[in-house]
Amino acid sequence: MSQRLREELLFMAVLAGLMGAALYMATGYPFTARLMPQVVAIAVLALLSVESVLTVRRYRAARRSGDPASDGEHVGDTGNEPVWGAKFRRTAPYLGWLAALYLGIYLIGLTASAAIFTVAFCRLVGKMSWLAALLGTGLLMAALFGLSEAFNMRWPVGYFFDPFR
Amino acid sequence: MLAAAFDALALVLDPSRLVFMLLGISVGLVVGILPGLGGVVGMSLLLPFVYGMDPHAATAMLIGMAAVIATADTFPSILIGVPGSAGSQATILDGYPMAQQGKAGRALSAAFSASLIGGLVGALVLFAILPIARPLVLAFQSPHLFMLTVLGLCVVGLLAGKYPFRGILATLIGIMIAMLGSAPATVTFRFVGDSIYLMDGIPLAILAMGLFAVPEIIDLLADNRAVSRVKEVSSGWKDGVRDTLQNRWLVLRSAALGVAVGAIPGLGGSVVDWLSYGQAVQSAKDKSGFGKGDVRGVIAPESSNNAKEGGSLIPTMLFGIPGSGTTAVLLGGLILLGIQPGPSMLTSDLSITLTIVWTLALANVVGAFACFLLSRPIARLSTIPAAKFAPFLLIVMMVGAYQNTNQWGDLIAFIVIGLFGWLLKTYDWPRAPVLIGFVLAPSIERYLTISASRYGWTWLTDPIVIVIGVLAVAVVVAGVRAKRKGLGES
Repeated sequence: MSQRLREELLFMAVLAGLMGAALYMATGYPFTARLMPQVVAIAVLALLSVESVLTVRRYRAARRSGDPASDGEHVGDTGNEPVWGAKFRRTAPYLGWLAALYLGIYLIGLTASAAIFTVAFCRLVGKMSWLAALLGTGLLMAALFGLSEAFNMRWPVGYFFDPFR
Repeated sequence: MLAAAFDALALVLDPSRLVFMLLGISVGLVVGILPGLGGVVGMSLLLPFVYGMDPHAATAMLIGMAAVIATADTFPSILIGVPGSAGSQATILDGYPMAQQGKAGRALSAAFSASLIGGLVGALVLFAILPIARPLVLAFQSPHLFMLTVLGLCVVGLLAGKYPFRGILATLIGIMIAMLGSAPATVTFRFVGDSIYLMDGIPLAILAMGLFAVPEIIDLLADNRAVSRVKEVSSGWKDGVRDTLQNRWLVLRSAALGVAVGAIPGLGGSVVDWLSYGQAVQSAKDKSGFGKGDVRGVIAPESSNNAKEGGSLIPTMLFGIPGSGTTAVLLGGLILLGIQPGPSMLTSDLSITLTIVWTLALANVVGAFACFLLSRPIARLSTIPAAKFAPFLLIVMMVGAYQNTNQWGDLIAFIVIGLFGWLLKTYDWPRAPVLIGFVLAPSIERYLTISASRYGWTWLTDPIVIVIGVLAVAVVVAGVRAKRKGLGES
């Protein structure tokens, strides 16, 4: 079984698990509240079982016809590329940046962490000059300030401090 | 009706509202030229800002944005061979070869002028159909609306993506996500556990941004893609306009097709350009140039994909059934503004409906001229690598997400849904049906509850209900068979 097929089946299994849990939880609700989720959950479980069989059959047919993508190897068509492997290695650094941004928002609030994040990302990933990175960030901060004033918007405040609080 | 139409025009042209329409058009132009960021993303970016706005100004902003995306998305299709949104895929077939031959200016000019005419035809048809649709729509009762919604969901599920069952499953998953929070007609909070945040359910704007924008940004960054390699747009602008005028019947035919297809829920966005391209090839005497840079291959899809916006608003506004992902978010926006799409759009909210029609027409004109004027700087903008604009876009989206409830739950939901959307995209599951299912879920539950409480179960024997039910089953069977045949052939 190819890596991609395993991943797709695992994805469907997780969805089935969630629907099963929803079906079970809904049993405790009154009739009008549980009718819709139960009907939908049962339909999803039934269709997931059909789709999982169809997915396996599609992969087997692709393998029989000699399609190299069915082996789970990246052969130029990113549509058939498994997540766990080269794709994850390419994506992981950006997920790391995202996690760092969230940590920053939690610790020092959105405005300060957004300013640090955009400058750092533009410099380290975007390879932008200091001037361009600072100018872009300045414009973003001005836009945030303008939105805050115009629409009375609020931003997440950090655990330790927020310079704009 | 005419008096109401002129009143609505005065409302749209009021400077305090006009500025919001122009803001929407500006956002639509930027979103349109960035590949992958289609109408849903643009609508999601604007949606958090409509809270508390004047309904006429807010709808003008949202429609202004949606109307010009089909014009602006021509840039990436022709300049880089990447569809700016789902409705501009067929434009690539002849537009990109034209650009490679140094005729990008002619191709863009033909596309913008065809888009302008197509968009105006769409707005005109939408206006013309209102008095006819009024008695028809008002005759529909809750059981019929329930069955129409089910039919719409079946069509959406089947037509979105490659695999029919995944489309239907995605629709059902969308409905299930909408089940989070308080249940209608009872004081029950479903699937929320101890989370106070989830008691009000997941906000629509967060779902839309998470499902569509986050996966695109992650993939653009991971693939380290610059948006465009073409830096200059060639001349030939007059030739393009001349091409459109010479092929005026093709433009009108494609626009009519666009309106008709756009009015079928779920069918519009991704197939209208292909159907239009197909009929252009079928009706041409000399077919040899298609696929190699024939301007008719640009004119036909561009005319129809702008006209479909008017068509897709017909079921959205009159039946509350969104015709596409974009109109699904628009529907949510209207609800946020306190406007209930459905028969009331032709009675108490008629001025909003007419505002939408006028905005659609005006935005198409302004959008087309803006594209003509801005083509050179826009072509340069599309050469910016994703790494240079992604951090700014991400922050704007997070700010937008946080405005829904001003809780950390907004940011957590945004990223969790974003990762879920990324998995859906990676594993080739369609995302638009998730959104449409989510938007339609409250209507389905409401229509079902009203039908059951008012008519018991006798509504199931209503002839119209039976006809729509049979139609839904036939659509599912035919759709599955057609898709399986298509997959087998491919």
